Amino acid sequence: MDILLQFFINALMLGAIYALAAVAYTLVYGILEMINFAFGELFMFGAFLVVSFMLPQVSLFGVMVPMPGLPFLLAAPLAIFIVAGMGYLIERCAYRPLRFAPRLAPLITAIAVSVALQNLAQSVWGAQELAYPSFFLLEAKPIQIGGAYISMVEIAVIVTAAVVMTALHFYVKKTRMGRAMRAAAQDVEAAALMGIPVNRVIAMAFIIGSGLAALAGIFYGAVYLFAHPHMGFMPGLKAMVAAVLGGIGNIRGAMLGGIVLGFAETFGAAYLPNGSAYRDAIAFGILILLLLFRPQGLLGTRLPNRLADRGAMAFKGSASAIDAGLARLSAFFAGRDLVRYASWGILAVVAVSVFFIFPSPYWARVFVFVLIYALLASGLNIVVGFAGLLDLGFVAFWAVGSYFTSILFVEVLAKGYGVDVSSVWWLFYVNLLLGGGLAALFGMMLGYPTLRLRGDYLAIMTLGFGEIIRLVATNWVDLTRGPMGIRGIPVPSLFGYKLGSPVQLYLLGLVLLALAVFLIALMVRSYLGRAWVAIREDEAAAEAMGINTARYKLYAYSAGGFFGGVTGVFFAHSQQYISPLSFTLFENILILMLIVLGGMGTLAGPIIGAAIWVVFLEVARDMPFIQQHPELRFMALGVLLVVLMIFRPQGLLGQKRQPLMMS
Amino acid sequence: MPDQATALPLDDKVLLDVKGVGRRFGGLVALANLDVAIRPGEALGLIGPNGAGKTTFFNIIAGAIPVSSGSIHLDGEQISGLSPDRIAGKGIARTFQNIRLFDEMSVLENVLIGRHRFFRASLFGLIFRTKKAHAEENLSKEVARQVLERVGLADKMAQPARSLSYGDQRRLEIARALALEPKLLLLDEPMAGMNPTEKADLSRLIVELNRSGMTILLIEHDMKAVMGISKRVIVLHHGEIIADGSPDAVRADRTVIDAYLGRRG
Amino acid sequence: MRKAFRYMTAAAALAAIASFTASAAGAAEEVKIGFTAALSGDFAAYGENMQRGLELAIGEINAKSDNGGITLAITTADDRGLPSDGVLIAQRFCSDETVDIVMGYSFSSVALAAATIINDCQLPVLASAVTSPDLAGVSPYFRRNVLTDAVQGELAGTYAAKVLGAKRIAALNQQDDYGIGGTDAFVAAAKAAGAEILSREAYVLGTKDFKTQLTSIKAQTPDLLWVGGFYTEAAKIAQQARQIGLDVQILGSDGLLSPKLIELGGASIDGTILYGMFDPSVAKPEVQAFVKAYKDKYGEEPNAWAALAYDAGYTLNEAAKLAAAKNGKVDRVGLNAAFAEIKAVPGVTGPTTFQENGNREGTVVYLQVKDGKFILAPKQLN
Ligand SMILES: Nc1ncnc2c1ncn2[C@@H]1O[C@H](COP(=O)(O)OP(=O)(O)OP(=O)(O)O)[C@@H](O)[C@H]1O
Ligand SMILES: [Mg+2]
Repeated sequence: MDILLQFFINALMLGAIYALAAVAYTLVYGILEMINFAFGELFMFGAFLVVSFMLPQVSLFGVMVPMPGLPFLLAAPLAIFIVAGMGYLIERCAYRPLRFAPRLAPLITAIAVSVALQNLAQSVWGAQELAYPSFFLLEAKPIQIGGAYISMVEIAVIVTAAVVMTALHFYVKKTRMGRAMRAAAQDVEAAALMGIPVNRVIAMAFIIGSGLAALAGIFYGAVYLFAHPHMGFMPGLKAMVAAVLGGIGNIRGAMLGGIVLGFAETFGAAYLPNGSAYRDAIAFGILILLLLFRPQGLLGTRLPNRLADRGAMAFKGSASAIDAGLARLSAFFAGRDLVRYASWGILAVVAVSVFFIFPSPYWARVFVFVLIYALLASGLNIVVGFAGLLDLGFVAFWAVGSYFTSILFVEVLAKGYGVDVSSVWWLFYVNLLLGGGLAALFGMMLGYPTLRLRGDYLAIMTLGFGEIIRLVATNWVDLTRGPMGIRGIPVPSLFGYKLGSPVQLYLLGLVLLALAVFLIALMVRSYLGRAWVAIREDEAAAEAMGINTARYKLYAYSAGGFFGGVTGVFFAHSQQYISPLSFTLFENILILMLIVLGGMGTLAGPIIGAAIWVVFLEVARDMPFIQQHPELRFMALGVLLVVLMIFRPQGLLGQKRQPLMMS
Repeated sequence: MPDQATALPLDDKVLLDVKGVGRRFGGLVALANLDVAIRPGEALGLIGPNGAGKTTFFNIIAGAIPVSSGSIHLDGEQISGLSPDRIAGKGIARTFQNIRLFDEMSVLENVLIGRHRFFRASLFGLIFRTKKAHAEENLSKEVARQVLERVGLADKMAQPARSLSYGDQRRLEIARALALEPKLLLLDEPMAGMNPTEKADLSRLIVELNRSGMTILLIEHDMKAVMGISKRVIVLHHGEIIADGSPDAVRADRTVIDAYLGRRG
Repeated sequence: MRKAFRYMTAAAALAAIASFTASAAGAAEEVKIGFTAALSGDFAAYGENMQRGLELAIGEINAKSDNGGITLAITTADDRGLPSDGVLIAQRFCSDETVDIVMGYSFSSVALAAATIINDCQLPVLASAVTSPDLAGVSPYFRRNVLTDAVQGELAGTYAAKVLGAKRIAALNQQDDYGIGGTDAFVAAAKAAGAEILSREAYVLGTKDFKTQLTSIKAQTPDLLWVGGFYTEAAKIAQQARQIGLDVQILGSDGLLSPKLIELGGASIDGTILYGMFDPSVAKPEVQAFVKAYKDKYGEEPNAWAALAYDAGYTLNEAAKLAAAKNGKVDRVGLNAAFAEIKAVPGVTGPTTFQENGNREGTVVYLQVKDGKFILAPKQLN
């Protein structure tokens, strides 16, 4: 009984924090139908700012800076205020210019903002956890109820969450701004027509949402007594899950979703077999089940409105100086054909430099990675670039291919049956196909439940799938050797002749990439590719023209999955060692960003994006500044992506449109 | 219910048979218990004030939104409840009131999307570019070119759809729908935003299509155009059919005039 | 500046007298370290600790006037904790002829991925934080100055049962090679010594909430809680244990040995026992000097990662001096041979000697957190 009561208290506290952050997601989603991934980072900034204000001194950019040492009750509102301002600025600068862009644009931008903020925080506060300074709530003695304990902070979290959310409920119900918000959430277009200042309403939603995220982060930090640059990422995702769980766009639903998630996680971790290792998978598992059986969420009524017409949502923002400036910049970038010529230049330079890399195994190895990322990006590009489906679980296919061949070669053949793996060299080539095929099958499995979902739901769902696969790879130690990874994977060979040197691997990879691009081109330049692009451009119109969108989406997932799987097999054998560390969500985001960088929905874009980024990463290693602050590279990429999405959504090199017909 | 006009002789063939179709959006009754029978080869005009339910009626036929009640049959086969792509596959093509082209695709590629239902090549066929795969692609390209010729866009085939003028975009939507070789063509305000010459050209095209045997259901606010094209006009108001008959009869109908006047006033 | 120069020329002259061969090359022998670790991403902190420890050692060594003409240089590469980056960086260091040795590595998996490449180009490695048993004998060029998790865990298991007299043990381990390997050995040794293992659960590095596990553990009424993991999570475990009224002796692995443990854990961490190869309770003068120098330079106290990397720097210096004295120059093969020969190089983590398989000989000391400080635990394993 004591133990149940203690679980109950833990769950309620965790649920309250999720609920606060979930309300942030739901507020913004309700109006803009956009998932602001960056709330996770604003959550983190909330915690960092409070800690910084409360301490007598803090190391910022590696320099000790004196701080006011404010009491908690002053520091917290100040932090919330600042974070709310950040939220406003992010909306104003990064999201508003994209309000009428295709669905994917704001979503990708939000991810990029999130990456940039995370790495910015690491530059400012360092990579270490910062300890939460003690204050009155922490010093107070916990209350004992039977054998269970509840601390003052936990009481404060639960009470404050309840009060804030009740207040918000009344704000939305009773005030003018609140009513405007509700109207906008019903129908932005209609609200704009009725004279509701939509821009101000949206800004307000961001301000309130960011403040709530900051508050959640402050509490999260206070309960677990730390602040860290990456602390917001997982809770942010969970809060998003909670918002979807409750019915996205529905404030009471978000509260309920948060609490339900808190309970599911706590009790799941306690009572499921190996529950605590799979703890993070619980949230995503629930999400997938939910989206399968009740996509509108627990309290939600809103189903993805598939006839919603993007083009028609044309209310005008006020023509401020910023807007005019943005427009001018945009025109400047759009008008540069220079950049397109530069793209050929760069391709030529890369092609020529290839001849110089042969003497240097290092550069050959770098280019092996260019090829691996180019392969991955090309596969993901089928899903994201051509079919227009945001996929944040793509690394799972990569993992499936890698693990398939590694388990077969090392665990089964070499260890299980004592086979000399060099005698079955041909199996590598068979595995390229089998691994690809297996991943394609996974693609179908992943695709099936997502068919009914729209872009942003899809993104979270695929994200959940990817995380589950990674957690399985980490925790199913008997199959995958878990975090220890699988070692001793043989290098590819041909009739007993080893192809293990970097240059040989490079050439092998080049053949694979050429084949992949060729295959993708053949698929894209046919009715198959046309169907994908039609779905991307306008799903309802595609359907009206006789395209079975569900089926073609599945094809896209499995085609993308196939190339992910093939890459996985090549990756495992070229590296001779794999572990779950390679298949993280961040890698997935990175691959996605490379596609955007080079140009979505083109054949060359992913390759160019991969080449630029991998080579840049290596060249940047020599810069002393980067050696001291390696995270700046990722911050720069995040910022670059935001700028690209706004001014040059067609990618850095402005590729020509991909033809979609047989020639 | 003005059923005298819709009552058909028993042996007369019906292409599209709409029986008791209703559609509600929450409390709003967008369509109330409609009965419409469209005969093969007919050019039927559908008019009504804003918000009357015309586009909703199209969406229902095309399967974009499900019916709340009633059923729809095409050539005696029930199509209500099928997905939009299945319905398109059975030969119903539509255009949209607010143009919905595939902006980034070329004009020719847009039209080729209309040909989607005729493609049979397998993945194997596509990858090895078999004769069969080539043949069907070439055939469809040929049809697409002819259709574009017909709507007068042959010289703009390679341009991206978004670069077309408004009138050309409307024509491209029609071309895309024609490429589907539909039994029934649904046109939702195809002349909106066109200048008089464009309108006249388009009217001629629609009449021509109809003469060559295509059944057409046309929503249009331009009365003159509708009257010129259609021999039969249905008037929708608040989701109900308030008149159904020859253009002259409808024009003279008191309820119709009231509906339009009431709406304006 | 000028003074330093004078010392250096003097040192060169001395070396010339001492050895004819060493004079020419030895005078200006620069040994370049390729340092790699996770320096961005979730777990950048551990890599940063190592980088700081190593850079401190390099600074001190280069400031010496009588170092046999050896100076140390460093080039740094962030591996993001990714095996794939480990491969790239290994190749980079292999191809860069000026790199004489690779140091660092925050994760065993990254070192494992790099091992074959580094072996092929005969580049010696001296790692300082990777404890996977898989790395033992992985290559004749691979060495580490940290004990394997198996050795550590076994010692700790015996210590728990025999010295602390624990009868009922609950175990928590970080779900990676370090946590699993160490806890496997701990559990086996503790069982062999007569203790009962009530439960064993894994958590992923980066976990924040342990209340659920701790609530279950509380119901089992253990008399000892083993934590095989890092300080970041251990601090949270201790705090949350106190929050739910679980008052149990915590025994932790050497991943806990960091002043951050105390900073993050606050009062809750008091009483926790842990072991490590490095005793920051500043009993010995060289440790005291290290702690002071580190604090002066970085404004924080060093942890086990920093201490091991610091010692690795000095160990390298010894090997380099030996190689230079023998061959008149420092190259990869010579350096590798020298590593096998050096014995009992003094350091803040005790003397360093390498075994044939690249592991380090040594033992651990048991420490306890007391009033916000690490002190030598009252009971040691004889
Ligand atoms: N998806 C929907 N959800 C809710 N209400 C809808 C939806 N689609 C249409 N309606 C409502 O149904 C009614 C009929 O709309 P419909 O678009 O069919 O009118 P219409 O006759 O095409 O008008 P117009 O001449 O302006 O195009 C309107 O009141 C409209 O607001
Ligand atoms: Mg309409």
